Amino acid sequence: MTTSLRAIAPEFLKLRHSTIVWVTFAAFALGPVMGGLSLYLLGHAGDMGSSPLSEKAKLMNFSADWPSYVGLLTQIVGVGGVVVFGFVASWLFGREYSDKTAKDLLALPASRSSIINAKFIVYAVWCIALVVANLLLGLVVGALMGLDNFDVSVITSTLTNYFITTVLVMLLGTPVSFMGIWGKGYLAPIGLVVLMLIVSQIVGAVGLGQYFPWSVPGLHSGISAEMKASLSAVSFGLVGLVAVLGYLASHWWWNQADQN
Amino acid sequence: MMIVETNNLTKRYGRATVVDQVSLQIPQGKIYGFLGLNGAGKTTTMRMLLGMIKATEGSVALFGQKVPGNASVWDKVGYMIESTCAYPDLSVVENLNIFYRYHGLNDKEVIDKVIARLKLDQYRDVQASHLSLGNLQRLGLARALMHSPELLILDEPVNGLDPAGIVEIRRLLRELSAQGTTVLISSHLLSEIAKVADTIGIIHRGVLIKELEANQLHNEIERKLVLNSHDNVLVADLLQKNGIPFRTNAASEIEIMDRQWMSEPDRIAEMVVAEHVGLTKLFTFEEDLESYFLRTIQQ
Repeated sequence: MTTSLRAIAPEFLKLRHSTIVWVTFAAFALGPVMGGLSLYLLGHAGDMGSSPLSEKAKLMNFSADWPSYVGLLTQIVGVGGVVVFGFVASWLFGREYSDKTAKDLLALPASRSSIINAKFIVYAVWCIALVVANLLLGLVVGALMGLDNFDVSVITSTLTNYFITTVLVMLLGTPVSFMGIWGKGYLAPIGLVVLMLIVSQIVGAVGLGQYFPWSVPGLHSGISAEMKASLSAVSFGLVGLVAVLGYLASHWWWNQADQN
Repeated sequence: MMIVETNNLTKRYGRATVVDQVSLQIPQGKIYGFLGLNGAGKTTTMRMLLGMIKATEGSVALFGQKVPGNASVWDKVGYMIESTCAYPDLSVVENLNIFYRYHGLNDKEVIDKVIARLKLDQYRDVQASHLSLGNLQRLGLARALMHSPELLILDEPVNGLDPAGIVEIRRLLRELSAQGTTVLISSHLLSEIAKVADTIGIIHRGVLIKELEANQLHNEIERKLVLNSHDNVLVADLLQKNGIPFRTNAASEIEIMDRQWMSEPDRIAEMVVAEHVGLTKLFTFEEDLESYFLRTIQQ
């Protein structure tokens, strides 16, 4: 095995027995369950009267069918993913400092860059596993609710949107990883995630969300058709730029900065 | 070729100089004891050797290769810096398995062997978060030794170990050194370093103030014959007449430093008693290692 690949297996081994893995799956699974529940209430509004969830679903122009439900799952990735993926990146990169194991990774035959790359690979696999798990859970929940309009072509296009949104959110993990290394722990990266969420709300409210990378996945997920239409190549370019800068900064800091 | 070679290694943080022009040369198979108070610059020097922090000035070479340089040099280096930490959710064997992979080893037996060597057998499946400080230290040593490195860099390796553990580690280091492994070990305890090191380097406020071979240490230790009597003025005259060099200490006692006379306290006693002066104190004082260390750094 080449030295650059050596670092991948240990990163996966480090996840063993980590409760945090299951916590992220459980937290992310709340989305399809709660979303399913609100669509169920919406579908049975006549029988059960109105509820805050069903009222919210009505406001969001949802109907109790498959395209709406998969659309809702996509929005959960676009907004909730920023938090959950950000948490994953914070933990993967910040834990080495919180557990004080970072110093043990700095003078190994597996190069420092390979260790950072391995962490990004684990991050990507973890995020993909989260969205796939949510999708599978969504299928079960949707089937249990007996949702209407299961049209393969509509579902396929909605799923394409789902996975593009996933990639957009995943890309935003690189600045979070940099904050984990720079801030030497969880606090700085989680702080960044919270700050970006707040800023994205403000920027979105003034109608400039298409130019703020942390708003782009949410807009792309289809919160509103009008806002999604406002996205341009510049919007996606900005997400890409932030991702590249975060990736390069993570490498640079890990390789070049003094690790006291 | 020197295994470890530093040339005027210096580290500054702003105006504070933490390590100041330290030049070390450690040949193969030697145990170099790095001695200094907490904050003297030992760990910073070790971190520079391992490429964890960059030197402000000077250079480091391990096995003749400049550091930082090619990562392959770390195949030959095992290290433990500051307190040992491990992945808390993982067991001893799982923690070792991680570093087994990083080193690209191909014989799983090395894990069992190093576990046995560090007497961690009964803890192999215990999560690191449940280990005592001493066993965590053993795990750190196991990690450093697993790939049979040619150079070991150990920062305060006996911290947290019980006396039996300390003796064991000392024996282990001696054994490794006999097999050709070069060891750089740091401690703030001279007594500990003196028992294991071939060469001792004393660092104070970032400056390597003294380097000596362990067998030289015996000659450097201050020894004196301390004498007190009912009439020290008369005794001083007597010593002067007999050409015996002496000095008077702060407690007005007489101290004889001359090695020959120090070995004959009975003759001194006879001389004094012959003058009908009562002796109240006569003993040989040998400076302990800690006093020697403190005296050295105060000079």
